[in-house]
Formats: sequence, structure tokens, C-alpha cells
Amino acid sequence: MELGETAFVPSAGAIGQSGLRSSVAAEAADASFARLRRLYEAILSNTPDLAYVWDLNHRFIYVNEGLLKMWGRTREDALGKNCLELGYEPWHAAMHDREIEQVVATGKPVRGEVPFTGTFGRRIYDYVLVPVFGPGGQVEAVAGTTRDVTEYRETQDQHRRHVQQLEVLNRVGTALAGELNLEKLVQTVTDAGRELCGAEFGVFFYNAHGRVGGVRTLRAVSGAAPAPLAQVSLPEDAPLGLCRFPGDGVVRISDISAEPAGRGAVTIGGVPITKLAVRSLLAAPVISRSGELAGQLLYGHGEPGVFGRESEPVLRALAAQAAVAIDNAQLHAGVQAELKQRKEAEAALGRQFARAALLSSTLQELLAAKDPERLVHELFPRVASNVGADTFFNFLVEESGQSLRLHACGGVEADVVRGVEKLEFGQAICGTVALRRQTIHATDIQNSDDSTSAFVRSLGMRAYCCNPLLVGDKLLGTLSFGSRTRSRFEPDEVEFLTSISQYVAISMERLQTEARLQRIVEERTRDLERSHARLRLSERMAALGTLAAGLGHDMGNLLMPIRVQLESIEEAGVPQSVREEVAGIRSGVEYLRKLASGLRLLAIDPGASAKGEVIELRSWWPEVCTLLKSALPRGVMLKDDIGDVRIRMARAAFTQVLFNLVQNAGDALRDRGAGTVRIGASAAGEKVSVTVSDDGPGMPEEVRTRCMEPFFTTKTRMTSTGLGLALVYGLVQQAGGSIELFSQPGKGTTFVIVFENAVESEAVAPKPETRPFAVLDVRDARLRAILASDLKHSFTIAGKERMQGAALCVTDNATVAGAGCGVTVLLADASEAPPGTVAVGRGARVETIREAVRAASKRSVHWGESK
Amino acid sequence: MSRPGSISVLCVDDNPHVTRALESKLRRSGKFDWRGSLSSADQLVETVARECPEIVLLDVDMPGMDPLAALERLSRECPNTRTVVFSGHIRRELVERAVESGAWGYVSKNDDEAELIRAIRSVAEGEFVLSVEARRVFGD
Repeated sequence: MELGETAFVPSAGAIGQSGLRSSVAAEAADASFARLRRLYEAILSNTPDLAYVWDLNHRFIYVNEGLLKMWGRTREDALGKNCLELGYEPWHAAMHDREIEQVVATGKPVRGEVPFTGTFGRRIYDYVLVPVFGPGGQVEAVAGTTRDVTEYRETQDQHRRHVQQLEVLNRVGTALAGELNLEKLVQTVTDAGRELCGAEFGVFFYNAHGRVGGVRTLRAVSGAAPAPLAQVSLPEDAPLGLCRFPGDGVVRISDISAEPAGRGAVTIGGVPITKLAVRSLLAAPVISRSGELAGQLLYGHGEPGVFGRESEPVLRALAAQAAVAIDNAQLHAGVQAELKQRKEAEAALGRQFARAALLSSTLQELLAAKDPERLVHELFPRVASNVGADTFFNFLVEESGQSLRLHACGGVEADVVRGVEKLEFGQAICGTVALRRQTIHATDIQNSDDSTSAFVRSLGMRAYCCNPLLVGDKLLGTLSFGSRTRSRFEPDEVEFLTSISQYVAISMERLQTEARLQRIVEERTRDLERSHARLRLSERMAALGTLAAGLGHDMGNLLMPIRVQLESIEEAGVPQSVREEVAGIRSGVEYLRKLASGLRLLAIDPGASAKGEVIELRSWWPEVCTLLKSALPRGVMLKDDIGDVRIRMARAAFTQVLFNLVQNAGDALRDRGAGTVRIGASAAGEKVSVTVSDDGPGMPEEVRTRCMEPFFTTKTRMTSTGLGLALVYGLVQQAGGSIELFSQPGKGTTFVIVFENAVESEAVAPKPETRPFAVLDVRDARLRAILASDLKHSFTIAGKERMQGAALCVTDNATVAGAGCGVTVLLADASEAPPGTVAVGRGARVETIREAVRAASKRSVHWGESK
Repeated sequence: MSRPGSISVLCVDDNPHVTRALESKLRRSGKFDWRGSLSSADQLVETVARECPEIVLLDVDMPGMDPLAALERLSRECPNTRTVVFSGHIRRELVERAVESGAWGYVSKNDDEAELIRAIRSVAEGEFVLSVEARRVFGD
């Protein structure tokens, strides 16, 4: 094989084998060739590239200095050998063999890149193989140039990695920017870190704010982390306390097993990292904008030296992104939580407002309510819609104070409540509330086996709230609300129901009090009207009585002289005929005298005692019969059957009672013009009955039941006030008596007045022989008469001969004072009074004396009885 | 001076029919010494002091001076003259006031005249007398 002249400057050896020329030309050509050869040799020997030529047998026929240095061989050693012979690895040598053949076959260059370990170590080489054409255009050799591109390739790789990391960081940054979910965020960061660093695993310990405040440590894991890292328990209250590294920045350990003791002392969850199956470790703190430690990124690899220096800024950048993202997420979470809280607070406030409004309007309605039952019925739908209740029960305390009676209910069928119309205190929920006087809120009733709530459970209730209706210490009943849909009421709802119950209690108490007051007012008003009417009537009757008495008095004043003068005429010895005339006049005068006497009896005596006086009816009758007869219409007879009875009543009042009754009977008979009115009086034991009856038309039922009411009358207003019988009723009542009416249409009318028998009551009191007696030894006859009158109801009055044993002695004789008497009242000055006597004084007024005697008599009666 | 055995009487009443009737009645009986009459109590004490009657018949309802006030003064100044109130008004407070003012008797005009005669005699003898109607006001 020969080298082409144009393409290649052959080596000396090769030149030495070339053809011969003419000598001169040959010399000149040789000189030129040698010069050219030196020139090429200078270039090829000093180029940094490697230059070489293979022959068609794949043997090196030229190698430059660069290649020889790389090989560490001499030219002589290298020329004539192929790649394999020069120590290339077989695959490498085979590859070049294929390429040489390709160039020879195609006449076209081949380019490639291959690592080779030579005297400069393992380097990357870029090479071009080109054909060397012979004069005939055939390929006679293959020349190659090779350049060391190791630095270039490394720079290129580094650049590519940087771009890749930037892409990852950019992707992560984009992902994190839109990620507000903390868990997803930290997982993204952890995964990205592993990708960026080429770690086998990554763990991200990070802080999270707890739902109820406080901070706790969580963990995100990427790849297959060693068990101690993936499983170590994370204490709630030790944020990041489990991951301790020296210093604040990125920590990179190429080979943990080769680390000095200080750096290898890192522990995770108490486990020294030297105990983990990890050789390479890379860690970076995640510091939030506020400077707080937000988390710790940790990457590892089972191989040593996996994390280069270049991974530090990448991890730092990732940590920074993570810090911002975590801050944002937590800020977002905080804002969301605050918004949620605010919304909840607003909703709660809204509910509170709604409840307050409901309470207010309820209160207004309760205040205006007129009927306790309607009150709770109208309340129920409003409360029900507010708290989701569908049932209510309202019990009231019975009079016994030991049981409840169902007053109102809603949301249940009528037949269901029949069994609980009455509850004993302590029975079921309402009874228990009544007993304890405390609210009961039963929850999740359907899943409870509490016997107290058995009834409401049977109604399908799930929640039931019962409140006592209390006003102060007074228990009125209970009010309860139940729900079949809710398992419990919220605390503010229970509070609301309690408030409602308090309002209802106050309202019910008010209604009860109002009803009571109303009844009292009505009763009092009726009483007042009655007594007012009686008062007016009695005033009228008193005025009439005064008028009648004045008339009676004046009649008496005139009749007295007439009687005296008639007597004078009779005594003057007049003829018989005149005497008969005078007797007629006397008879008329006598009638008038009796009438006057009766009229005077109608005057109410203001000095008369309230209890009245003892009236002996037989002696009273003659005085009033004329007056009573005068009250009857012509043709009506007055008949009497007065027994020997005595009653106690003011004489004028009794006369007025009888006058009214007789007048009433006369009115009943007026239309007939005939009939009989009977007055009877009889005693039966301790009672005396006085009857006034007529044989008139009698009263129908309606008249009979109402005739004693004030203003009730069957007569025209012109002739009747409607007060006569009311006055009778009032006067009899005042005197302690009672009055009854018996009447039937067609059978006349009878009034029966019943009094205590004055005689009987005195007889029941001490018998004459057992009564204490009082001695009256008073020279002044009129005083004696007055005192005797005062004392005779309590004492048997005796003269001074019975001084011994007397309960009371009233005397004006100091010498007999105190001689064997219980109490002595001495009408003398104190200086004359012996011990034990009551001295009144000589010049004392009658009333003073009477007062002293009355006081002493009370003591002496007591003394006499006890003795 | 009254005749022996007779009782001297002065009558005070604004009703001349009454005084005339009483005068007639007492004179006719022959047992009383009629000392005249007054139509009011205005001059009662002076008249009694002059006439010195044993008994004064006194109405309590007259124009002029309050008869009971006059009676009180009379009891004090003329203790030897005894007064019988003779009235158509029989009320407890009136009777009590009369007794307190010094009356020795209280007789109703509505009582029989014989009752008045008995009362005058009894009082003259030193007794205290309340007629049937007057006693009644004390619940008798």
C-alpha cells in the first residue's frame, strides 16, 4: 500500500519504501518533500488532537506524539500493530474494526465518541475516521483524528443536570404555588427533593398547627425510607425535636460510616443515623419567613457519595420554596380557619339573634296572654321550628303538690297520652324534673335503656329536654320538648328552652294570680255593691226611722196632754153620754199612742250596742203591732202567735226587719184585698225562730232564689227600691241570725228567722246558784241602778249582808271594804282604802266609776270561776 | 214653801199643752205643789234657786240653753232639788248623759201618766227611778 501525495505526508519509513525518481528532480523533489514532511510533522506532533492512520489491515501506520503520550508508548512500539494488540479492550477494538471497514467500503467518514482509559486516566474522546484515497480513487488507508472532549462533556452534563434541576424546581414551584393543602404540598416537596438529589428515599418532618391550637410534627415519606424514619412515633408536643443536626444549614454527609464521631452523632427519633442502612445523607432545614423552623428535609442513599456539592444549593432552594409554600398553606389554613370560625360565629350570632328575637316576641306574647293553655299551644310551633322539636308536654302540679296533671301537649296522638295524664313526682322524666326541680336533657334516647325515659322512647323520641316551671320556690309544673329527628339539643338550645320555660312559668303564675285577683275583685265588688246598697238602704231606713221616731215623739207629746185632759173631763163628773164620747176619744188616743210608740221604735239608736239588747218578744209585740198593722193594706189581717221567747238584737233593727217582712207580705196580698199575715215566735232548745208568713200567691223559683239580692224587685221602681229584703237579710246577719225563705206559687210565703235563744244562752252560762255574786253597797241610788244594770249579766247582785264570799264588792263604805270579797272597788279616796281594794275617788265621774267596776268585774269573774 | 205632805214641782217644757196638762193633773191630785213652768232651761237655775221646788220635771229637747247643761249646773248649785227628766226621746246615750248630769229619774212621755206620778213620789223619797222605756235602753 502507498500513501497518496496530496492527502498525506508519509512517515520516514513509508517514504523510504516509495518509488525512485530522476536524481535531480529526485533530489529537488526529495528536498521539497523533506521540507513538507517536517512541516506536517511539526503540525501533527504539536496538535492537542490525536492523529493516526490505519492501513487496510487495520494496523497503525502513523501515530502522532499526542497519541503516543496518551498510550504511553513509543512509535516503534506502536506502528504496525492493531488496536487489540495495543491493549484496547476487545469491544473497543472490534468497534474500530467495524468503523474502518465502513470507511473503506463507503469512502465516507465515520464519527464516534468513546471513553478510554489511558495515561491521563479515563477520558471521553471524540473521533473522526476519514478515507485516504489512492491515485486511482480507491481507499488505500484510513486516517483518524481524536480529540479529548471530557471537559466539554462534563460541562455539558452538568449544564443538562442544572437545567433538569431548574425544570424540577420550576415544576415544583409551580405546583407549590397553587397548592394549599399542607399534606399534598409536603409530599410534593419530598418527592421533588428525592428527584433532585437522586436519593433513594426522602422524609420531610414538618410542623402543623393542630385543629385546637398548638403545634405537632407530621411526616411525609418518599421512596423506601428505613423503618426508624418511616415509623418513629411523632410526639404531639415536640415539634421537630426528634431530628437533630449540628448547625442551621444544609448538612451533606458523603459516607456516614466514614464520618468522624461528631457528625455521625446525628439522631433521628433517638436512633443514631449510623444505625440506619444509609451511607449518603443530605438534610436541610425549612425555615419559615418568620425565622421559625417549619420542617426538616432529609434524604439518604445506601451508596456513599451520592450527593455532590451541587445538590446543596438545590436542596436549599427546595427548602426555601417549601418554606414559602408551607407558610402560604398555613396562612391560608389559618385564614380559612378564621373565616370558618367567623362564619360559625356569625351563624351562631345569627341564631342567638333569632333566639333573642324569638324570646323577646315570645315574652311579649306571654305577657299579653290570657289563657295558659293557648299560651303553650301557640308557643310550641315557634319553639319547635327553632330547635327542631316536634313534641311538647306541659304538666301542672296538682293540688296535692305530689303529682302532675297533663295540661297541654302537642305532636302526639290523643290516645298515646291517655296513660300519662297523671304522673307522680319521680315518675318518668317530667315527674323526676318536678321532684328534683332541675332540667333534664335526655340524649340519644333510642340507644338508651334508661327506664325513666321509657315513655318518650316508646314515642320515638331521640332527644328530650324537660324544664321545671318555677317561680321563686313555687313549682307550677313542667314544660318539655322532644325531637324524633335529633339525637340531642345543643347547649345553647337547652339554654333557650330553659329560658322559654322560665318565661312560661312567670306567665302562668301571672295568669293564675290575675285570675285569682279577678275573682277576689269581683267578689269584693259584689260584696261592696251589696254592702253599699245595704248601707244606702240602712241610711234611708235610718232617716225614715228618725222621721218616724220624730213623728212618734211629737205625737206622744201631744197625746200625753190629751190623755190628761180627757182624764180631767172624766173626773169632772160629766154626763154618761159625754163619758162614752170621751171613752171613744180615749180609745182613739190609745191607738195613736201605740202607733207613736211603734214609730219611735223604728229609730236606730246610735248608742245601742252592736250585739243589741235582749228583746222579750211578748212585751215588744204590743208596742209594734199597731205599727205593723198599719203597714198592711185594708182587708189583710195580722195574726200573732208570740211565745215567751227572748232574742238578742238591736230593738229598732228587729222592728225594721219585722216591719219590712210584714210590709212585703202585705204587698203580696194587696191585689187580693184579703188574706192573713201571721207572725210567730217560738223557742226550740238553743234556737228561737221568728216566722212571718202570708197566704198570698207565693213566689216562683226565680223570684225565690233572688229576692234577697239588692235591687231585685218584682214591683215597679216607683213603689219599691228592691232593697227591703236585702236590708232584712243584712240586719239579721249582723245580729248573728239566719234567714230562710219557703215559698211556692199558690201556697204563700214564709220567712223564718233563727236566732240564738237569749234565755237559753244565759241558762247555759253559770246557773244562778253557781254564778258569782257581787255586792252593791252604794248609797247613791241612781249610781247603784246603773252599776246593777252593768253587772247583772255576769253576777247575781246581792246586798251587803252577803259580803262574805262575794266575787266583787262595790261600796262607798270604807269600813266594809275588802271583808271577804274577791275584788273590792271602793268609791273613796285612796287614803281611806284598805289594802287590796281599788279606790276610785270620791268625786269621780259616773263613767269613770263604771269603767273601774267593769275592769274589776272581769278580774273577779275570772277569780270566781277559777276558785 | 210647799204644803205639808205635798211635793213641790217645777215643770220645764216648751210644749204648753204638756205643761198645762201636767199642771192640771198634778193640781187635781192635791198631792203636789205646782210651782209653775218654764218654756226653756235658760232661767232654770235662777228659778229653782228662787222657788226651791223639791222636784223639777225637765224636757231635754227644747230651744234655748241645753237642758242637760242646765241640769248639771242645777245639780251643783241646788243639790236639794231633784230632777226627773220627762221626755219623748229615750236613747241610751241620752239617759246616761242625763244621769251623769245629775238626774234622779228618767220617764218617757209615752209611759202612762200614773208612771210619772209614781216616779215623782219615789224620787222625792230618795230613790233613783228609770221608767219602763228608759230601763229598756240598758237591755233591761
